[in-house]
Amino acid sequence: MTQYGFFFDMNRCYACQACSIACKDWNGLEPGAEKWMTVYEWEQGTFPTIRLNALAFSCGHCTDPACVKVCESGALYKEDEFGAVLVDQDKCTGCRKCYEACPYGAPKFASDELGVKMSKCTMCVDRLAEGMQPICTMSCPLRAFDFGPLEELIEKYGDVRYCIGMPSPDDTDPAYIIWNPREKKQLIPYDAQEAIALNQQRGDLGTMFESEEDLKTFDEGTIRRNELKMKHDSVIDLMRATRNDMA
Amino acid sequence: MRGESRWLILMLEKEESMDKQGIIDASRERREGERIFYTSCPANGCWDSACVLKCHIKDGKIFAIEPDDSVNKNDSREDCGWDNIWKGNVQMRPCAMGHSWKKELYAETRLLQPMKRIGEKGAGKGYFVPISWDEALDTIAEKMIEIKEKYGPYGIFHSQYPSFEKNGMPLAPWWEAGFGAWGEHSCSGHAAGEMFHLGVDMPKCAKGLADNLPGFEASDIFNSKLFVMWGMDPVVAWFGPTSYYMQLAHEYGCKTIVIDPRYTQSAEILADQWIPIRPGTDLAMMLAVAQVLYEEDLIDHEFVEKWVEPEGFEEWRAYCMGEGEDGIKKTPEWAAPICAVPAETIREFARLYGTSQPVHLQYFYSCAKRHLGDYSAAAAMLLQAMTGNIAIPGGCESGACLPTPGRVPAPRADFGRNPGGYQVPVLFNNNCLTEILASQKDYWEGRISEDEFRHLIGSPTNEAPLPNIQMIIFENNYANNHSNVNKRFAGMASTEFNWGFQWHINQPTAELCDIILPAPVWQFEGMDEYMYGHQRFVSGPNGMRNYFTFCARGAEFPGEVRSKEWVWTQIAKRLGDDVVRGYNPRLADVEWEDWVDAQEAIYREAFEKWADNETIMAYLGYEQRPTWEEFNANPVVRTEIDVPYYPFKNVMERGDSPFLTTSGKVEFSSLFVKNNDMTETRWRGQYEPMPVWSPSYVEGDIGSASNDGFYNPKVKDYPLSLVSPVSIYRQHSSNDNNPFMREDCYRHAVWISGVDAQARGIKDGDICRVYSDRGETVLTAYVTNRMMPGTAAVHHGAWFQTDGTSTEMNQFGQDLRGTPNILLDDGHLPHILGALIIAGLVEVEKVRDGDAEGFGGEAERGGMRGANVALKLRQSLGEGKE
Repeated sequence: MTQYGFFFDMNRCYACQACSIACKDWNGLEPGAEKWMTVYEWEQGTFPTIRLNALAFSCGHCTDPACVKVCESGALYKEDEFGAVLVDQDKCTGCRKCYEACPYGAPKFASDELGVKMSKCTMCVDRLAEGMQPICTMSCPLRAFDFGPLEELIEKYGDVRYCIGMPSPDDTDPAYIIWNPREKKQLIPYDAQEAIALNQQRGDLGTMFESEEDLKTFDEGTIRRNELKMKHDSVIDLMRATRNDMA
Repeated sequence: MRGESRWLILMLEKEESMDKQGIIDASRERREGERIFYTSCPANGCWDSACVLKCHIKDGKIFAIEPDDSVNKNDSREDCGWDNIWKGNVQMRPCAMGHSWKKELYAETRLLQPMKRIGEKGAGKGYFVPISWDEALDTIAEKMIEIKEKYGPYGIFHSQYPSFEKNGMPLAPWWEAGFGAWGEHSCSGHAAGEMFHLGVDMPKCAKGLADNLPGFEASDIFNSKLFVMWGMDPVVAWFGPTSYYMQLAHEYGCKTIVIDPRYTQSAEILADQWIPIRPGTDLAMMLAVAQVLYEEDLIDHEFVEKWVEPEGFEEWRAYCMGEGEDGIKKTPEWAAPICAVPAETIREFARLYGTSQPVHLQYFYSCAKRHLGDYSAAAAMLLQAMTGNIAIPGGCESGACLPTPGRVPAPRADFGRNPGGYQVPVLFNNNCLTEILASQKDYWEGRISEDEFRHLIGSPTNEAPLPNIQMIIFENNYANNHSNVNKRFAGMASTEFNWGFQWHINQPTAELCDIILPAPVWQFEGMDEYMYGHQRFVSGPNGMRNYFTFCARGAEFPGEVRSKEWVWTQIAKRLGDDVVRGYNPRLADVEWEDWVDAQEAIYREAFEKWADNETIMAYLGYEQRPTWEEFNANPVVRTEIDVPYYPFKNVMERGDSPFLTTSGKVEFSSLFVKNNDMTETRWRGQYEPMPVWSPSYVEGDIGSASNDGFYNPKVKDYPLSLVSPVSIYRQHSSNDNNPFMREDCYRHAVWISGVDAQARGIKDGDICRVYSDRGETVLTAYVTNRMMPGTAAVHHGAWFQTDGTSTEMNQFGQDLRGTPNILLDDGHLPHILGALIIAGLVEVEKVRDGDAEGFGGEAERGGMRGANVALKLRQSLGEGKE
């Protein structure tokens, strides 16, 4: 078996979800939580020192898949040609042990109803069998993905399989290489303190806020999408984390 | 260990590989008997980006869409080498919408039959019943004749592209009715400055009457040393190859800066640095940049010497340096408190800008469609001129900066139309339709003067005929899509008879129609053209016009949907033999059953003629003349970009001046403006000959100027400065109902900063009432620190949907889905008419805690679930009961 894997460049992703919808379209999935390819977007920092992150993650197709280990019905297995982790839905009982075990939330469920069968990214084995690449990787408008034998990807892109907020790759050895966001080098000076002071004033019309502290501290829940969370308690929770605000 | 041993066992079991085979077999079975066709889905609103879609179709229906595979097959990263990238040999991959079309085409809400309205127009005042095609066409033709007789040829307005002094009504040339407008929507804030200072006349460029094209080809961005995205969010607002090329430029070392009130996705992935600036204060920062450039002599003297009119240059210099009438030196220290940008940052920006030639500084369209936008757009162009960046490789014109020459000779289908004898008269400014509808009755009944009416509607001359619109023909979702929706709806409801093509039963524009006809989605169904003059040989977008795609025959029409060209032909027949023989002589007698075949035959004829041309075939690199079948299988035809187009390249290279001003040079102080009483020109205002800081709210004889300014006294009641950017999940308002988008990808929300939300007790996901002095709407709050304090954003294109709940501000009920246009005024720039205003002042207040799903209410849902809110209102009046 040659383990195939994904490469993902966070510096090119703007959370547009083309990969996710292309996946649903090709695989005949309905709108909603069965997002085999899941796109997260979250912010870090406060005004005016802020960054935005985006991660598109389908399944690690791990070398040591936690989901397979816990599946009691034998529905989950690691396929022997590309190393894809697949589910045999005829055998799946919908017990959700795989979901508990998978650190990445890769097993997906159309609803929270008990007994709903799990479905997940197939690595597009149907396309691979015909010599094509997975639909998600081919559909990225900014070409953030690559796909191929994991060893080749490592050689090309290095071997980081983690971004901030993701679980440690040591547990399951995912076939998912990531380029993390690069540091930004400011081209010209920008004094954030001074900018805040300027922002506080509105000419003759008074002030905008009382103190700098108002820009830094917020009640629980005021800002919500400010961390990467890949495991979700419910379908609603997942949708909340994966619907962005670019429309 | 237990799991591992099971895994080993599974590896050995035959059953396991059967299951993988099961996935493969199921996929093959799904595709068995399919047909593949290619199309493109440019729609104005996605920058006409003309992506290539590979569609899988079975039993007449599309079931999957793959991205372009016409080059670089199976290369996810598309590492096809710099050479190929420069030449434009790259795929045209669609966005999420491009992959979502099947849910739009086969939506439960799709309008599938003609319907007529019972009761008055306007939400909550009537409902629809199904009618036959014959009844629909007979009624429409009778009403057209009646209204033309009663009100004359200018009693009929057709909503598709009256812009650029044209008229979209297909039958106008032979039936001799309808009228056009000057100006357009998109770069309408830049257009005046572009014409006065640079002599670039977009309508002339668009019509082929001038060739000083101000655009640039995508790979020209690789020539830039500095790329300034001023108010520009290309990954969202300029989808397609150009934003991808901008990303590559950024990666390979071009310095990049975003200046914007919001930390956009472009600020994150395309830019080295973000400079937040208060909305509508760009001009102050630009003047300060100019002041530094003048003071420190960071000017391209060679360019200025050759191409800039000297007196105006000196006037603007004096003004910026404080030697003008106002005596104020426009230093970075002067601009800092206005813009909320530190003075040091402005100064260092000016220095970087002045020493980095070539610089692509692009001041985006939206920034100019608001208070002081006209002057700031002009200032951006002047900055590019004084630094010698306006007409060089790697530069940018910073006006419309869009049109580039085509590179691929494409076939042209000949439907045998004669040109007709009707010269479309220009009656108004393209963005003043709402004002015509609001004030025409007062004019025709003598309550306002002719002069007043002309000024309100942007009448181009004092001799132009005046409209009295009593029929609107809608080809789109026009009612919802421009500012001041309440006033707009009221005006549209007041006409005698409206009709149009609609795609969904709950489209807001349907409520303003007396008859609605089910429209095809041209890219996928039948063989109609895209819009006037744009046939199915679809050119790549400006910036990448090195290919075209033949949008081949696609899916069957669902329900009773019929070709629009068939509809117009049937109406033409009813209007007279001359009309149908003029409009569609070759298909006039074709039966409906044979219609698409007949259209396709004309496209095939065009192809054969094109393929017979050996010169063209050789130019395009065909080794063998393709057959029709081969062409349909490979309908993306590419050439290579040799040297990328830069602004005015063609004119510069032949040694002419691209600046078609009075002096033939860039005029920092416009001679046209100096030599004319601007209040009596079509702009009908008091424009200064050079861009100056004049933060007035009402100017001259124009009584309703744009009032969105950050320092307008109105902010006491409406403290948040709202912008309404375009979305990546709608093309204008198309796909707003698509559940693959609305129920899956995004949450339509009002963006509010953390500090402003906290002060109002608002948490992310809360349901809020957003209101202005023009209207109100209900929206979910997106609370983020990506915004400047005091700002808000609601994305353009969401539909007005009401259940009839009455409100303080909205005549037709509360809007439960969040159209930003209901919050915006239909005023204009302070100095002149012509821009479509996209900004305003609002307040946001919490209504209740949000539901866990983040939908503001049922109306925020996609598909039938969201539509039901509006449909129930119609049902309560009688729909579906007769």
